[in-house]
Amino acid sequence: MLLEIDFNSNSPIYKQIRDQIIIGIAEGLLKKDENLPSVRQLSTRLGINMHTVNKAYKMLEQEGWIGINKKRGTFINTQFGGNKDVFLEKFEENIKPLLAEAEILNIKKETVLECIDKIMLNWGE
Amino acid sequence: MDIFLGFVIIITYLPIFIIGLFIDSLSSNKFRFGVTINKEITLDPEYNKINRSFKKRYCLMISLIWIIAYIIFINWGFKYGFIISILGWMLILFYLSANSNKKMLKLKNKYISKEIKKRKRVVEIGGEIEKKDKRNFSFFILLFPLLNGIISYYMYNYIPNKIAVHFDFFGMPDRYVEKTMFNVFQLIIIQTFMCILFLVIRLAVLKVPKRLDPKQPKTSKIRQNIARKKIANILDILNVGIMILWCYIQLKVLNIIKPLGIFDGIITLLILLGPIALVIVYYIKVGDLGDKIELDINEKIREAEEIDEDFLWKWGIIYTNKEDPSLIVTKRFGGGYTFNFGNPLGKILTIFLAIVTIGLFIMILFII
Repeated sequence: MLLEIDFNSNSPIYKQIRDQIIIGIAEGLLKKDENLPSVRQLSTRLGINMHTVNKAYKMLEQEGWIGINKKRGTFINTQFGGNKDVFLEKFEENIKPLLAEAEILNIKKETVLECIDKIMLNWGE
Repeated sequence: MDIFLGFVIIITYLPIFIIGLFIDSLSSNKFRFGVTINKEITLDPEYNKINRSFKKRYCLMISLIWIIAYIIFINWGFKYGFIISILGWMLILFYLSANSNKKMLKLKNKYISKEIKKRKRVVEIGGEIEKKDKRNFSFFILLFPLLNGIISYYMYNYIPNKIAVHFDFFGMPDRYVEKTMFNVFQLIIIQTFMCILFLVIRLAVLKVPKRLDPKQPKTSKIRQNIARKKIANILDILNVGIMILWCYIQLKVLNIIKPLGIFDGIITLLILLGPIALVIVYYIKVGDLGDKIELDINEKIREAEEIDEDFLWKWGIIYTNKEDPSLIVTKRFGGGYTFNFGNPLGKILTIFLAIVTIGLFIMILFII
């Protein structure tokens, strides 16, 4: 998959890496058990500090998306052991301000649901 | 003889002169004198003026240096003339590129406010690229020095007590030494080191981080993959050529092959100039980023720009980025690769290379 870092974005680089790897898994571009570049390799390719990549990887590991092993390196987990209740709580917390913006901008509930459907349908493929 | 040697100097100096004249055409179309440019900048009349000024001043300065070198060569000898011409060429190129880089940066500043703000970097992760390339036969080139060593070992008792270790342009031996294990095997030791050096360079080139063009990442990926494969193959051809030449010289040292006169010189030139011609064709037709390859892919051009790193390139030549852990990066001025001066190992290797270059000049002056 292509990992794209926007240096002008308000979102920090480590978060951009984390988000895109998760999207990559959902889209099927990163397969389960597949190896990822090491912290050094990825920071070299992106030309950024190793701590930034390390932070993204540590976050992904803590959330259970990837495994980091001395022998195998960094790889996509075969089973994602995330807690659904915790996720839903986080989901609500993150989506709330966005939905509030939609409400202020008079965007209908159907349009928002259509938008979500469109994204998730793409992942299902 | 002096006139003949003068002619040889002109012939050997001519390719160096031409390379210098078109050196900036060897680098990616995205850069001019180490500065990231876009179409808008290329349309500015000042852009052509900078390019023309570089070529005009280069021709003038080189002509002057060549005349000085020729006078020195006639009065003091070949090696002094040679050193002056090469050193002069390097200094002229350095000065002109740094000066043109400054002018190009000034021109670019006019356009900065109009540029797109979306600065991105795109790389590839996952998929096939994390798997190591197992079909690599380049290491078999090491068989050349190995075979050379085996032949030399078995022939050791049959060769005369005095062996030739140096041959002139016509392939005739002009220096003899006593037969010792070291004298017989010294060429093979150097040959093995050279072979390993080429293999290391090949591996290093393949490992240089691939940064894709955010405007067309998929096309850029294909282009860079083609370019990497081609340069790796050229390095292998160059390595094999030099190994064959080395084996041929060793066979002459062992007295198995008799010198062929002028043909020896022609064979040597062909083996060395052939791959150099390949490299030049590679830079004109392909380029390190492969952006000179004609591809028939219709990828939509996105609104994004590669992150501007002009300020990290001193004089458009030296890359210093402490944040970037890369050891080797693609050069912006001329073809090839350079060390990251911000990386501690890169700094050591750059200084080491500079010392080796100065050492070579000193060796030519005082030892040869």
